[in-house]
Amino acid sequence: MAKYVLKRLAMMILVVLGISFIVFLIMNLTPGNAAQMILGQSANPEQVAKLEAELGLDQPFFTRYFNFILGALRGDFGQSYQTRLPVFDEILARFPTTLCLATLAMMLATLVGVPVGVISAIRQYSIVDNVSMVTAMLFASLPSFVMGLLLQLSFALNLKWFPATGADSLRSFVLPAITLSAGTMATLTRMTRSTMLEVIRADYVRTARAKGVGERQIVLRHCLRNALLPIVTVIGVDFGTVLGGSVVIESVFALGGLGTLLITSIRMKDTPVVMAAVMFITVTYSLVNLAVDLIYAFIDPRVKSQYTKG
Amino acid sequence: MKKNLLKALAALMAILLLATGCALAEARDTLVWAMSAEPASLDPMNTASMNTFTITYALYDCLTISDGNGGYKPYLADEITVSEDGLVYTVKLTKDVYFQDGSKLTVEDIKYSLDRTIAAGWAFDMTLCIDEVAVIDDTTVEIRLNTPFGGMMGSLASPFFSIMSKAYCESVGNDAIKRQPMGTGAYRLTEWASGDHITLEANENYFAGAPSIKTIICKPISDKNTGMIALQNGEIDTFMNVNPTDISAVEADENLVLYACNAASVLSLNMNIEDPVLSNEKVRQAICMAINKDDIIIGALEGRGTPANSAIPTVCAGYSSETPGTTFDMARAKELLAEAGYPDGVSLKLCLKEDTTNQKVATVIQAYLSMIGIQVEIELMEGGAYTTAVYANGDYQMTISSWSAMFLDAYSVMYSQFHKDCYGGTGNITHVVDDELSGLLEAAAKASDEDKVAAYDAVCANILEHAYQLPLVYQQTTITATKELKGLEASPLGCYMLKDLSF
Repeated sequence: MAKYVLKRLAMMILVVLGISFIVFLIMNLTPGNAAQMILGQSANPEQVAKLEAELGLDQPFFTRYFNFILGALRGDFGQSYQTRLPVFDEILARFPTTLCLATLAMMLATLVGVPVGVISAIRQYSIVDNVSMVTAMLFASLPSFVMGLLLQLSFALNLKWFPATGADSLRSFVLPAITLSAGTMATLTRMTRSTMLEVIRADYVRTARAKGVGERQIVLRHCLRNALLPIVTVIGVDFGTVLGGSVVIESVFALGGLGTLLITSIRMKDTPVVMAAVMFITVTYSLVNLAVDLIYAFIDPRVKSQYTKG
Repeated sequence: MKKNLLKALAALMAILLLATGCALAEARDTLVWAMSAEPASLDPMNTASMNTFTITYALYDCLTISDGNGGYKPYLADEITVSEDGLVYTVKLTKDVYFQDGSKLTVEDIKYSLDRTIAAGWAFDMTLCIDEVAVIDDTTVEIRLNTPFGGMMGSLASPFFSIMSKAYCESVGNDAIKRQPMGTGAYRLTEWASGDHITLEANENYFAGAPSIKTIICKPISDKNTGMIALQNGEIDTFMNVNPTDISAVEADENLVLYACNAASVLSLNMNIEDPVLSNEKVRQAICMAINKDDIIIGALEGRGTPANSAIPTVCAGYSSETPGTTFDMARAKELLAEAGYPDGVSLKLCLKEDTTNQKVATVIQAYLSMIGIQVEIELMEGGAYTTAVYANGDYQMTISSWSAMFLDAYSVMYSQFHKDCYGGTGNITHVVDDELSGLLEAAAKASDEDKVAAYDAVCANILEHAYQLPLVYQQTTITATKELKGLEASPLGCYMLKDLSF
C-alpha cells in the first residue's frame, strides 16, 4: 500500500511539472506583456523596457521557466509582477476560501445526489424518479452564472435568507456552494441511479432477497456498496470541475478566492501568480484523486488485494 | 439552582450584547464602499487606477485640492504663490500637520514626495515641466519649472502628487509601502484581506478635522450584475457605473439614489494614420462625416450621453461647447471617399477590447460606414492582446478608445494623445507627427486660465481639419448609493473623497 502511494506521489510530481510547462508556455505564447499591462496605456516604451528588465521578462523562455521551477522546488514561487509581493503568501491567503467553497459544494452534491439517485433507482419510473431526473437535467444544463444570479435574486434579494456577496460567515457560502454543486449533483444523481439499476438486477441481489434479507439491508449493503465504485470515481474527477468552476462562481458572488485571483492575474499576464495558482489547484486535485483511489480499497476488497500485490 | 441562574444570566448578557450590537449598527458609522477591482498596490505614485486613487486620497493628502468650481486651492500647503513668469511655484507650509505615525510633516517630506513622483514616471505628462524642487527654508519649498504650465495647481491635487513621509518611506522601502501605506490622510489602513476587503479607520487627529464615518470597508466587486444585487440587498452602500440597463431599476428603488455626471473622458474613434488607407486624409474626413453620433447614444448607450464636439471632456478646463465639431453629412462623405480614390468603397478593420458597450458602439459605426461603402470588420481582442496590438505595436486600423483625464484640465487628455513626443504607446496611437499641432499643444499647455479655451480651440480646429480622430460621445459616469449616505456627488474622474461622506 505504502509503495503504491509513493508511486502515485511520484507520478503526481511529473503531472505537476507537465502542467506547469504547458501553462508557462501558454502564458508566454498569448499576446500581451506584463510590463505594458502594469504600466497602463500611457506608459512610454523606455518605461516598459525598464520594467521588463526588472521583472526578468527580457530573458529567454527556457531560462525563465527553469528559474521558476528551481524556485518552486525550494518553495519559492517568486513575486507577483503586479504587486511585487511573494506569490505564496497571496495564494495562502486566498486558498481557504476556494477550498471551503469546493469542499462544501462536493459535500452538498454527494449528500443530495447519492440518496436521490438511490431512491430514483429503487422507485424507478415513480414520480420521485421523474421529478429528480428532470431536475438533474435542468441543473446539468443551466450555466452556473445564470444559476448563481437566479439564486441571488430569489434567496438573497427577495427572501433575504442568505447574503448575495462576501465570505464573512458560513451562511455566505450557502448560495455559491449550491450553485457550484449543481452540475456535479446532477451527474452524481444520474450516475448513482444508473449504476444502482444495473446492480439491482444482479443475481446476488436476487439471492439476498430470496434468503429473506431486509429491503434496507439489500439496498445499502448489497446494492449501494457495489454501485459505489463508479460514484466515488465521479466524485474525485468532479472535484477538479468544481475547483475550476469556482473561477466563475467566485466572481459572481464576489468571493476573494483563488478563482478571482487567477482571473485577474491571467488578464494582467502575471505569470508567477497564474503558475502558482494552477499548481496549487493541480496538487489539490491530484491529492483528492489519490485519496479517492485509496478509498476504493476500503469499498472493494478486490482493489485492495491489487494494491498489496503491486 | 445556581447553574440555572448562571445560565439565565448568560442568556441575558447575550441578549444585551445583541441589542447593543443592533443599536450600534443603526447609528451607521461603517460604510461599505464597492470598487470594481482590488488595488494592486496603495502606493499612489506607482499606479494609474482610479479605484486605487479613491483609497490613496483617503490615506494621503496633496498640496492642493479642488475648490469645487473647477479651480484649486491650497490644502496641505498654507499658501502657494506663482511667480510673474509662471516658472516658480512657492509652497508655504506653516501649520502643524502630523503623519499617522505621529511624526510632523516637514518641507523635506514635500520635496521627497515630489521627487518621488517625478522619478516614478507615471505622471510624466504632469512632471515634464518640473525642473527641480528645492527646499528654501523650514517653511518654504520652491517648485521650479522649465516652462509655464497652466495645469500645475490641478496636477498638485492629483493623487500622483500625494505627500508621503520621507523617514517612513526610507525605513520600510518601496515594496512595503504598497501594502503598508502611511500618510497624513483622514483615514488609515487597518486591514487588507487579500481579495476580500480593505478596512480603513478614521484618523482622529486629522489636521482638517476627523471624518464623520469611522470605518470604511472597501470591497472589490467586478461583476456588475452582482454589484446591483448586493446594492439592492444592502450589502454594499455604493456602486460605480451600474449597467445602463439597470438604471431604471435603481430609479425605481426608493432606498437608492443615482448620481451622474459627465465623465472626464471622451469615447472616440481612433484611426491609425500610418495605415495605407487611413493615411489618406480624405478617407478619414469621410469617416468623420458619415457617423451619426446621436444614434450611437440611442443604440448603444441607452440614451445616456451627449454627442461630442471636441476631443476635450466637458468637465476639463479648456473645454467649450462652442468649439466646432464634425458635421454629419453622408452625401459629402461619399464624395470625399470617391475623391480619395475609393469610389467603390474599401474595407477596414475595427479592433476592440472585449467590452459589451464598445461592441454595441462598434456595431452602430459599422452600420453607418457601410452606407458610404466602407465595409467594417469588427475584431474583438482580449485585453492583453489589445494593448499590445494598439499601444505597444501600433498595428491596427481603427479602434474605439476612451482616454481618461487624470486631472480636470484639457492638457491631461490632449498632450499625450496628439503630441509627437507621445508617439505610439505613450498615448498618441493615431501616430500623428504634426509639428504645427505639437506647437499648438505646447502653447495651450502654457496658456493661462483665460486663454485656455482659445488655445485649445486652435488645437481642436487642427484635429478636425486633418480628421486625426473622431470624438463620438461624452459618456456619463455614475455612482449609485443608499439614500442615507450624504455628501456624495458623482466624480468625473471616478475618484472619490471618502472623507467628505457622512450618514
